[in-house]
Amino acid sequence: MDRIPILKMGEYLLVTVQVDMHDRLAMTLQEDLADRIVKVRARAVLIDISALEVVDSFIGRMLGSIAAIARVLDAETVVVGMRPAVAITLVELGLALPGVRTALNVEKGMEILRRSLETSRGNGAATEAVAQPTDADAQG
Amino acid sequence: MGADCLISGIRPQIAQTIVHLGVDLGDVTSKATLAGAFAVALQRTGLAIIRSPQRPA
Repeated sequence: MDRIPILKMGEYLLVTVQVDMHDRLAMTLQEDLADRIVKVRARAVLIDISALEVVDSFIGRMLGSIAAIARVLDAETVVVGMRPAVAITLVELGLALPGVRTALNVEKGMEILRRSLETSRGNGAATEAVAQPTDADAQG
Repeated sequence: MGADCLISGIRPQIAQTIVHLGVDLGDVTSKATLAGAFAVALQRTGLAIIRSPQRPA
């Protein structure tokens, strides 16, 4: 059974959909991604769908639920490289993907994730100070 | 009753079930680990754990 590969890059997980996404594949991806996020303690997921020419309502809903699952597991999701035709289809299907962040390309997607991780780290700065007082002093 | 709720340590299967059931966790912060959730709790209450200068020998 074929699967969509999930690559780990530090705190990020990268998913590049290179093949035609059928329903079974999307469901497998959702399960694999949930497992991997917990297993490697990922903070962010980037899904590249630039190779997808057609997105039906099921795949659209799947993208939404993948993002929702990732959020429950304390990870951010950004979907990148959506084709214009796919965007039009999704909106016509009434799936404007609320809660899913998008970017035009991988570069911009990584930038969004990097910024949002920095912000969340800023909020958790107290933890760093607790763990390593010397580091906090050096920064201050 | 004026208390914030944080959830930590959700398993992959549970996360999928939560989303499929359509449970809205919008107002509930979920963190991957207990340590992460505890750090958020400390931050929200304005507390910090610091090392005492006099360390026991």
